[in-house]
Amino acid sequence: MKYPLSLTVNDENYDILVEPYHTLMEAIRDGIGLTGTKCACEDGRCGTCTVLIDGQIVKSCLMLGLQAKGKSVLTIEGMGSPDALHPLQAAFLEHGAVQCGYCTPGMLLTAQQLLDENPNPTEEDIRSAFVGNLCRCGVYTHATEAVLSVAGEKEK
Amino acid sequence: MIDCQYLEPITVSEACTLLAEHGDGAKVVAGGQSMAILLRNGLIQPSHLISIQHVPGLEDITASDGGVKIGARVTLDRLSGIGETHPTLRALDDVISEVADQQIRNFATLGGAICEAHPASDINVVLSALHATVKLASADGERVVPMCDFVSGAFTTSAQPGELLTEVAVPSFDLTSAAAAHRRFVLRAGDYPVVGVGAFVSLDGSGGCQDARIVVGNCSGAPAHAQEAEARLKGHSIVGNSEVLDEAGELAAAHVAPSSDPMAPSEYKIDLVNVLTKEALAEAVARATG
Amino acid sequence: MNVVGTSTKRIDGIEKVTGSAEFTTDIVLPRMIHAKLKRSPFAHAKILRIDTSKAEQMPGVRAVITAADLPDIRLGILTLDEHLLAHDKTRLVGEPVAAVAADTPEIARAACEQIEVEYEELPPLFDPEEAIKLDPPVVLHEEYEEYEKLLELAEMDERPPNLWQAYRIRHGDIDAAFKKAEDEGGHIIENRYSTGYVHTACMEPHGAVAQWSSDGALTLWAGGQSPYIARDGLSKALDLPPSKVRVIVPFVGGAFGGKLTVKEGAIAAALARKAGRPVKIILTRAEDLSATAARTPFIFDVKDAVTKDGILIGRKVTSILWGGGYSGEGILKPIFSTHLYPGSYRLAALWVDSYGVYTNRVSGGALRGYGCAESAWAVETQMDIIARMCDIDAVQLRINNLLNEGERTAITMPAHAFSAHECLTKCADAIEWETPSESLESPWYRGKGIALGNKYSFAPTASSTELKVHEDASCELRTSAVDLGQGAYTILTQIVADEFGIEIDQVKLITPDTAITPFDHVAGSSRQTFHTGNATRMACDDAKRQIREVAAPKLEVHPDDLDVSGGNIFVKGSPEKSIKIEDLFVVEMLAGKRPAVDEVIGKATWEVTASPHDPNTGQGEEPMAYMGHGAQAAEVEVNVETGRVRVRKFVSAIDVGKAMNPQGVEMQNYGGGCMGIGIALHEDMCFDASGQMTNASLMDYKIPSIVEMPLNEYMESIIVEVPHQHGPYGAKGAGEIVVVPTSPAIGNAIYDAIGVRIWDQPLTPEKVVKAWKEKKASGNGSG
Repeated sequence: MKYPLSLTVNDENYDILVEPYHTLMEAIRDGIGLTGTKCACEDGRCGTCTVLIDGQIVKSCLMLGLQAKGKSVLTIEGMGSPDALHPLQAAFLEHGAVQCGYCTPGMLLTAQQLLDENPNPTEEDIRSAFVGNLCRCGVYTHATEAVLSVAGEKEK
Repeated sequence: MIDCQYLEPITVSEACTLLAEHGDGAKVVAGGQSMAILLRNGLIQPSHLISIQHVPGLEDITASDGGVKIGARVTLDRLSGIGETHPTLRALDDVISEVADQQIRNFATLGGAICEAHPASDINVVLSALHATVKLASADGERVVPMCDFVSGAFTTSAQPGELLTEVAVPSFDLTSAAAAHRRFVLRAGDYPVVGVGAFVSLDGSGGCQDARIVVGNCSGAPAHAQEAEARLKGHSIVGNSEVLDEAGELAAAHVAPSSDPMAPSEYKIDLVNVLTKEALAEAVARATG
Repeated sequence: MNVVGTSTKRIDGIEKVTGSAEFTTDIVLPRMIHAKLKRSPFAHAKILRIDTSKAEQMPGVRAVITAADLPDIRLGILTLDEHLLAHDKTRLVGEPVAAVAADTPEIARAACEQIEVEYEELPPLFDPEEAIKLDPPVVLHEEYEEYEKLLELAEMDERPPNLWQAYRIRHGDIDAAFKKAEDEGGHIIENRYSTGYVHTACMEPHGAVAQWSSDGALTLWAGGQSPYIARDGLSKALDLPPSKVRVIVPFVGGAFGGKLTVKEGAIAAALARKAGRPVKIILTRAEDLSATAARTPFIFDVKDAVTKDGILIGRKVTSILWGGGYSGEGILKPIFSTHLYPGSYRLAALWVDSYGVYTNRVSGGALRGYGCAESAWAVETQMDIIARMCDIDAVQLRINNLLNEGERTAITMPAHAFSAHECLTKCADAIEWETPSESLESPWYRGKGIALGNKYSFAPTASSTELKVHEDASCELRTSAVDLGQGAYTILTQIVADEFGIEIDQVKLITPDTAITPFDHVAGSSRQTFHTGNATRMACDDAKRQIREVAAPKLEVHPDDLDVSGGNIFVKGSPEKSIKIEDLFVVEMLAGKRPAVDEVIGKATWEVTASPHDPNTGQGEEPMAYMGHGAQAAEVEVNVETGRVRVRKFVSAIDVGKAMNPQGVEMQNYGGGCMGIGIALHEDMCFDASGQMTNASLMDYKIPSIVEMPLNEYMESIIVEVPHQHGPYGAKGAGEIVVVPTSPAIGNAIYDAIGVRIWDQPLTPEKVVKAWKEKKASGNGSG
């Protein structure tokens, strides 16, 4: 049976119905229609479905939708807009950290939590943060550069 | 399609009542980090999901003379660096920040990680080496079970229907003469290890080994004590004696019979047991004497 | 203005970083339902009976199909040996036998479980060396001789019944070469190499959305590498005229060779027709990894004749491509892999027998480097062994054997824009080749390795584009080239901007849609920059010609005296004499007159007509569009107790002719290095005794995480620019060469570190430990 789920996504309130076995990823993609959150691995390894819940990154395929009741979720659509990119979004573009783009939303949200908690990460910190985000195009080197550049900017 | 109910008890006793009522069809959801996948892929089809998200009192970490108690819903992220405030848990620091990844550690709970009973679980290896116990609540009351009896096989625990893991207790030990360490080998960062080894040693005044516990992960369904290797160390001088640690490694390797899996063939896991046992023991001895 | 050659930001970047880029997985249509496939659990079995009645009666199920619902047509790239849904037999675990469309994916999955299939198990055949026998234990395709084939195999007295490809090279006197090496104190070096099972493992799984219109026309959205190959496949599979098939390519979440065809899309289309509803199919990760085409293994037996001074004088190779149940997209690999046997080297004699065989495993497909990445493993390891045997530096040995510009290779390919020397030396400098690696504390060892590589781009092939000039002087490029992440859309946009002297944002790209965009062969074989780039320049020229012709009378000059740039048409040498492009369209139209021009659409087709080589000799005319060059070097750290190999430093030096977008080249160098490191060290599809893949998840199939990559300061990308005579601005492709030398570079570095060779990829920790133990047991274990 479906249950009501009220949550905030990108500062907007949503009331949807979900099955208990539906994941947060399905609630976001199918229930709310925000498809920037991707699905790629179905076993919680790849990180393309990463979103922030109350400021903490989570793989939205590893959490039931109902567990997010009353929570505040940030997806890639809420991170920035074409006219007002988040500095990380701009840096990913500037530093060539985007290829096919399928892992990009997840990587960006992971980077956001990292910088929120640690404005001056080392390269090792960045590598640890990205362990849960796989990218087959191999943008890792450039993504590291991008995050370092934003961290450097904030410092100034 | 499966018809499943989602229940959200607000006390331990209510949760236990619901678990008892719904029997085998009921599954506990804590962080959801292993449950959601099983559900999504149709691998389990419970009639009731019992979320313990709103049950209070499961998120405390408390220390007393007897040891450290950790609530079942404490996240792995909160445990990272735990050895700094609770030094007897230092061996958890060896591994906790390498378990899975930041996303998972943010929401995965200690209780969930234990109950998943993954054969390669580093956490279960370390807790077994530390002689941890788990507290199981049920409608009938509570019981305390040693980790090594709780995880009974691959993805299997000895919890009875109606029981809820509420707390993990790690007994204290004398930090000036005892210590634990954990070593693992992963093929890729963020993954389960091919093999993990947890070691605990306590020393007498002259560098002899009073007690030794060596626990090997991913070579059998549940974490397993390397009893022959432990026996080789007990009563012998192990400080500054790398030969005996080497022998312990070889004994540990000689007595595991891991099955091959896609990560590695059996022979290679045996090689790793040898290497990692030595390393974990050497580190534990160094800490105990440090 | 000079946009070409600058690191313009990718034009699809904003959509990708804000989450608005729509991939196939994101498409939702009104009334859309979901498909799942019923797959064979057996590697080899006869299908006796399929009963779909229970599935059909389930609530929410809208259509169920089996082979009986489809035209009895065999499909394939060049050997047509495969039905869309298994007919009478299944030849690999995971072969689709039926399909269901239902209201939700969960219902479709449950309905698949309700389909009853009665099989008669047949003995499976997995070993390629058994498969290639004249009298094999099992024959997979009893009706092979009747299949339609578009390719000629090398002549054989008797074809082994499981053979689907045979190709030979006969160049020079191979026996004389071995005799000379023997007689004159040279060396004969003979080794067996093999590669593993590798999957493209794109982050976006395979999928498609199919919709039929009331007039019986099909529209398919699928993130594949070629809308025209897809359209052709759909038209054949469903027996539809091509004009009734429209293929639209949304954003593609990676392809790397794995998305050349749209088999699942054709199944979705058949379901959609039966259900009368749009159907979406997205493969699960397990299906994607275990049942879509993989880079299947090669076995190479290489025997080289070398003079005592380290000059290669003869090479003999016998190779078998371990094909799967169907020849698939791997059909040309036994041929194209041979391009690397001479590679960049002079070879007086070359003798090759190259085969492809059926086995009951996953079918062979394309993956970045198509054959060359595999044969490079054998050839470039062999070069390292030769260097050590002759006591010549491994870089110098290679240099001593390189061709000269203009010289013909042993496969009659003229060496052109020959940059192997430059790639090699720049790479060696960057890794400080002359300086041996530091010694580390046991059990760790460090070492360096280097390798050369080549990647051909196939021919014959063609690309067409159309370039519409709008009234506001902006340009619209219509292309069926696909951006798979490699940056094709950005580079093509740069070309248009340059040709018209306008800003990047004045160029609009109409992305692949066969109803609108003209033919382009495929986003594969590193061909988009080269071929589509040329076509784009030509379409720009054609559009500018039209504009000049209209403008000439107004400026009272000959069209040839005019130039078009920045939205203006002006007289060469007298830029003050000009009119605006918009004036050709608009002014007279507003005045109620017929405008000078209604529409400016430049059109062009760029074609390269090469002819395939004689399959019996490997000789003929120029067989490819161009040959790319590159070198890579690695420094590794090896732990001999655990077998851990860490790539500490990685250098990739590739020749792109002209770096259209230098940052884009760097992305290929680093990204290719990442995939190359995964293939060399970690990635290995495993199968159980029944032929079932046992690690079909991204948890268990180990594509690299960031931690497996060297630190940024130890990653180096080197761009070499030796212009190709036919490349646009001299450019060549970069997409595949970047994974070709990686494995041998790493393998050679492991040897440098610990003195052991591992002959079969991937070079996993357990193989390192095993090889080290064997070395110690043989008394050479001093390190």
